[in-house]
Amino acid sequence: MKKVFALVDCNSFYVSCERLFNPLLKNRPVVVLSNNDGCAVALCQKAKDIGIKRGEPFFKLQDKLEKHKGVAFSSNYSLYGDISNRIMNVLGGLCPEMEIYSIDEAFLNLSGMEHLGLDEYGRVLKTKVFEQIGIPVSVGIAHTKVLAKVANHHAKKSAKAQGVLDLTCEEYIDEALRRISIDDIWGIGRRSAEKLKHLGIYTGLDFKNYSNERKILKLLTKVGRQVQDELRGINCFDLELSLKKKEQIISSKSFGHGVICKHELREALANYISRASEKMRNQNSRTRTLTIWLTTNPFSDTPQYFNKASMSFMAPTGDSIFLIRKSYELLDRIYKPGFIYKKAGVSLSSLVEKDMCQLSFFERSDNLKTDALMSVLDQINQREGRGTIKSLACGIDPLWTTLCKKKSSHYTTRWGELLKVDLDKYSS
Amino acid sequence: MKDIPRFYSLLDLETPLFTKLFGTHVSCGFPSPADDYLEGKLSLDSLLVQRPNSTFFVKAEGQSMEPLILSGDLLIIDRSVMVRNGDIILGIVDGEFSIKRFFRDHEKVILTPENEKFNPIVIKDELRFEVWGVVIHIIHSLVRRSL
Repeated sequence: MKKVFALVDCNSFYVSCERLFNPLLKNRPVVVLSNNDGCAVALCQKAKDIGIKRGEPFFKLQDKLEKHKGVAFSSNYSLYGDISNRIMNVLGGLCPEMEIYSIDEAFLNLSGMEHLGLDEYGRVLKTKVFEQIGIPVSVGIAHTKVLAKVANHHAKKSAKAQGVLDLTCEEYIDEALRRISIDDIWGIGRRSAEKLKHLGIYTGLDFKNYSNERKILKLLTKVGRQVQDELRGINCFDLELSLKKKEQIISSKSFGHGVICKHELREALANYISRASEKMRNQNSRTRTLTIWLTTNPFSDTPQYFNKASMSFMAPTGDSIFLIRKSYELLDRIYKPGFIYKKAGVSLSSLVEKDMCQLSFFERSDNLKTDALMSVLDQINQREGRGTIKSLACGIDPLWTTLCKKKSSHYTTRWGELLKVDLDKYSS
Repeated sequence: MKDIPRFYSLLDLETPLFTKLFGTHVSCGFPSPADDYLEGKLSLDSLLVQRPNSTFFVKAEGQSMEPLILSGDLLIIDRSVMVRNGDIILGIVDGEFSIKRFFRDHEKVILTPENEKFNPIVIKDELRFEVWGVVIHIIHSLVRRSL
């Protein structure tokens, strides 16, 4: 029996979250900005209509936005994360198996549910999510994940589909593939798309029908061939049901303004390490390689400098304090005075499972003690809020932190920031 | 819409329960006769928030719903409750949030305040109005020192 997958994807998810608590935004162009208010990471249809593009820097789009009475928000990940969890919970209760693909997308396994009517079932998913959480979603249904993505693409664009498209019916697949550019096929990156265009492949249908499979294998490797097979309805990718552990954890951010002093860089590194190592401990890993990097602002005409440094440890560690101390040593190696730094980052790599760590013969180990300390630290921070207890190296109220001046409230996660409703409006 | 099955994950069932194995020390003496009658702790969440996915909290400000809702009260709103005449709802009128008692009467919707000093809102154009959720509980604190 053929499998059936549904891809549920939220429409302009970040913008929809903002609108949920701010209905006046309904008919206005809205953009959500990246960390540090740098560029647009999410936009609604109205914002696209006035010519704003995803990735466009804020200073460039600001005029357009103001002219059309648009609004820009800093990204409010606590809000988006909470709303996303609610959506995934609702979807999880409506299907036997689900893969959460990203903050706003999930693949559902609907195999064996054909008797309920797949199109109708898609509409149930869509209405349930909207009724319960208030976020509009689109649903694409097909026999493979890649085709479900294609179906979702059309479900969003086509007025006739009304947000749900069932592409399990053989006769519609070719038409759907004819109308999708090769750039929009899931799994085909920009460079692969360029290569395929050289072969005269411009649409999904061209790709499906291209018969020289060895050429595709050579050009795009095995994954590219699998994507082609999926377009033909041959199932290659299954749901990934367990969370994959990350093999590398990165924390990196731009500073609110240029940083010159070494001690400010130290503070920034200490914060990034605290964040990254907390994530690492959460997935029960330990690191053997620490890397840091620094860079000046490539968009300014001040002198430019970029450098990175890394070191490895004999015994894997999960100790933030130790890692912070080591990052100072790395900073000493690459820091050069006289530059205005714009960004720094930290990466923890060569991660190993905590329970598989081998002690080193030559290094002194306080593992048990520091493990206990770190786990208390993490517990307190989880309960009382991030940064309740931190290393003093992270600084108090640092100057360099990211700007997010236009952030909406944490409506669903903080008592002090609940939505306030004016009871007297319109009736006095 | 056909009736569709509801799926539960074993994990959902495991997490929220308050587990306690023994109320007393395990000693060599006679075990506490209460151990067989242990029940979970009462949690306000289980009483007030039965559908956490669709439940939201908001804060009320203003006098139009006195004496039922006072300024500063915390309201618990469930989006998944079907609205019926007479319910208190959080609605959107011309893009602004409003909390009123809801009545639908043929072609029009009337949102009435509790406080007689305020006027009802009458809506004839459907496009101006939308129900966001139904207010299912009002939490009114008598001592406001800590909130």
